[in-house]
Amino acid sequence: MKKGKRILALLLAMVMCVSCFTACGNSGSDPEATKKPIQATVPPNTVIKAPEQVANDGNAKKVELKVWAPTEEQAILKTLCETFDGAHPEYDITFTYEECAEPDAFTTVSKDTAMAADVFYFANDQLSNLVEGGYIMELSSVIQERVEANLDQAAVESCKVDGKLYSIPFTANVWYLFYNTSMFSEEEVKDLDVMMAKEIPGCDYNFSIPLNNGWYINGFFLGGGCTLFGPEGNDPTQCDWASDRGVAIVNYLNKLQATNKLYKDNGQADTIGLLAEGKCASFCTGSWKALDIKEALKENYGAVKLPQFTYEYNGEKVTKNITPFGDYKSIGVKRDTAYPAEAALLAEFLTGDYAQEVRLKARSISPTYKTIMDMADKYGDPAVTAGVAQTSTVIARPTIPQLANYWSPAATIGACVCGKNEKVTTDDATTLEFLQSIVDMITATK
Amino acid sequence: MIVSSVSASGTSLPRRKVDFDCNVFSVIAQIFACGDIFTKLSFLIFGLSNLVRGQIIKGLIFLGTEVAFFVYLFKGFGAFCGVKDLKGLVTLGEVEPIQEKVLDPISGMEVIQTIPGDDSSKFLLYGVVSMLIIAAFILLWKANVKSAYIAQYAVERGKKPVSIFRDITALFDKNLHNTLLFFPLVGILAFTITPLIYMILAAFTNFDKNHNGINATFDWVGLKNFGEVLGRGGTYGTTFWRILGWTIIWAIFATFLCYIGGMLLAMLINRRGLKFKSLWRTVFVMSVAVPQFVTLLTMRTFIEQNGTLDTFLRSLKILGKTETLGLLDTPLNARISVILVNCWVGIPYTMLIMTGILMNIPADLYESAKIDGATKYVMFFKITLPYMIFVTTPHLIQQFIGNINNFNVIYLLTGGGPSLDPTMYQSGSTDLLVTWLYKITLEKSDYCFASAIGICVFIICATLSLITYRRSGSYKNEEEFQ
Repeated sequence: MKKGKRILALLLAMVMCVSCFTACGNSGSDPEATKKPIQATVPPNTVIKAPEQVANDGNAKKVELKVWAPTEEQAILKTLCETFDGAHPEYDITFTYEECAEPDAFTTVSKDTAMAADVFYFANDQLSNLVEGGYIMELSSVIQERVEANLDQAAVESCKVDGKLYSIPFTANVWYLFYNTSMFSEEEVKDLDVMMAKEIPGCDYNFSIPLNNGWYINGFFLGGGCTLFGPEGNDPTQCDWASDRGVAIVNYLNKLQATNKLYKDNGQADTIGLLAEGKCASFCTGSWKALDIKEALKENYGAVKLPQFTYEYNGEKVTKNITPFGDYKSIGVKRDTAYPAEAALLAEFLTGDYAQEVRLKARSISPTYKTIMDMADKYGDPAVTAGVAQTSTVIARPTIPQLANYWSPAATIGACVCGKNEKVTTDDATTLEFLQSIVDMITATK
Repeated sequence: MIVSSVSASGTSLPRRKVDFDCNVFSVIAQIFACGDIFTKLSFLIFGLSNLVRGQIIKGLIFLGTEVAFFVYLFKGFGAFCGVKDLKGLVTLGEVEPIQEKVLDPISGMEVIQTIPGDDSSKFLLYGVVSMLIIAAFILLWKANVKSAYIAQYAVERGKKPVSIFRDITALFDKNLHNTLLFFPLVGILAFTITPLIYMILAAFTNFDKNHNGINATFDWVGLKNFGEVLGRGGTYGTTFWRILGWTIIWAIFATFLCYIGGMLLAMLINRRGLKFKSLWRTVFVMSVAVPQFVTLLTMRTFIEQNGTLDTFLRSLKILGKTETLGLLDTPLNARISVILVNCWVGIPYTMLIMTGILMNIPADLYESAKIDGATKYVMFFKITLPYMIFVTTPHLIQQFIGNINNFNVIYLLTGGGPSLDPTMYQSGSTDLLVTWLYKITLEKSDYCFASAIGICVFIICATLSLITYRRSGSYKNEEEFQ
């Protein structure tokens, strides 16, 4: 009996240890997600023909590639990758698909490079961090030539650091205006002040924007005539927001907030619920929310390039367009991949004309491939048209690593405006001082 | 400790020469003095004494381990090699990554490949592992020396040394504790101690986003990071002291409000004459049944801007249709809100503990006080409160330290926000040191600073708890209330 107890205790101790091991096991993505059979939603009437499928020859090279893409992409990703494999008889590729959202790529790749995917989707604002951290492979000149010839130039530039191409863009990462067509006319959405002045029965908020976010606040500053990192966007010591013009723009934002018709989206897009209830009339966000908004607004779904706004500067009224810096999403290759050539070719294929057309039709993602961009204009989805229109007016995102310092100080402007904080509501001198502290942080060398 | 195999024998045996109760060094010196030639040689050749006295398997195990250790040290098993790893721990890698152009034979394409340099983080890890292996080897050496002498002693007394089978059976009987503790110990070594040493050492390097072992090697920098974190000049310094200030204020409020609230609630429920006592207790304990993170996320959607509370007040026309209470929008509001929400989460726990203690206070104390004419207030301050504080001081200290590191409440409720001050590096008004540390690690990849901050937090917590605990009644007069 006593012995039995001891054995039991021993067993328990072992169970404890085993559970200790298992707890440290799989912390990556949900294995179920990759196992599930994924329904391909490639539309049959694609104009660009898929590359010809050829059977592997006897001595095809065995290749293993892991691909990270966001959840929404998984459905078409598998078909695209298999099409790529079929088009290359010289390779016998085994794919592993895992989920990783585009904004999280840097964090996930840097956590464990050995486990990171060979090919991954990411938002380009992480590019300088990825290059600086040594996580992403420079693409060869052959691919660079082809990409430069076929893709939108501004898009390609955003994937370069010091003139070297590190990834290939597949869509613009810009935000523009979604609105309820029963509440605003096409003429009204051209001017923010007209939109804010309108009384809409039953509607609480005329305009929603995640203002406490560096991505959105810059639309007013850069659009209003301020610059970040100098006119070329490459001088880490320059930022002219702490100026009379900067103060004038903050005052304009205060005015917006004072109407009480401005909704501060919390970044998780809680606005979509308000849109569906008819309590909010317009919302600034990007193509990644297009399908959800379409569902919320149904037949009243509308999208358009960002409106103009009028602020007072030195006693004069200045009318400018809200112009954020535009960015792109792209596909890159891990620096230490075992299959550099194959992974680079796959990245090129996933951003090629065939893949971009498939993505446009399946996910309403605006393209960067020149021929597909022409097609997108006639495509008829307002979000895609607005996306393309917005992309042509944006200011290029600074590519210098100093940009990493920009986000959290810039976000404080929006937070203070929305909270009606005394830092921005007291007087112009206080606001200027506040803006100066922000500029100091943005241009700080540490 | 008396050696087991020996102690069973009678009294007529020669006097034991080595006193195993002395300290380790003295025991080893005594063994060297008393040992015969084989025991002395066992200091160098593991298990020799055991082999000579017939403990073949035990001797071979000792010898085998020694051989394996030296192979590890000089030749290495796979990626692990003692001398190389120790050298790596000193240099932390010297080879930087190089880029080169390679022609891919199949696609005919030129590929820009990077020959990885030394990954300093691996050098640091392997170095730590080699140190632990060497420490284990020293312990084994001690065990070997001891076992050599025990074998010699047994033979000297004309006994047969203990067989390996008896040793093994002892592991399931007399020495069961060793067997039981072995696996947990290995687990703690592998998953707690090793990473801990690794992280502590990282604080003395420049392991940050510019030197992450992949783009460049990192190196030892001594106490430089602590200088940056504690110095008042730099970005880290200014932010650190301000966050520390709030962390302490938060810990004090969060701890004592929960404590007082829990105590009052427990006394209220414990009052004589109150009906449905257990029902009341159950009602309050219900909130404990909901996982903490669920409560916190619910609270967040409840009080945040345009959250449930705002919507509700708007529907009652107390607020205008787009007005907000802004409970998380200004630093002061947000700080008060997190403290109050923490009370919501913490008071039921304290109430549970306090109820138990209240019921334990001897009733005769109160009765005699009543006879002496003491009022309720006097009884509370002279009997209840001293008793409670005496019993719960260790709990209070633990709560205080727990609140300094209370990641969940802050991170899930406000995420450290609102961030209204751009000069606070990567942090908002409600960030504690521990949530700030998390942001620095994940968003800025400044591992060395995060590690230095972690060590500072540990030192603060350890000092505070040691000082308060040593001065507490529960430590000084352990017997008083029994």
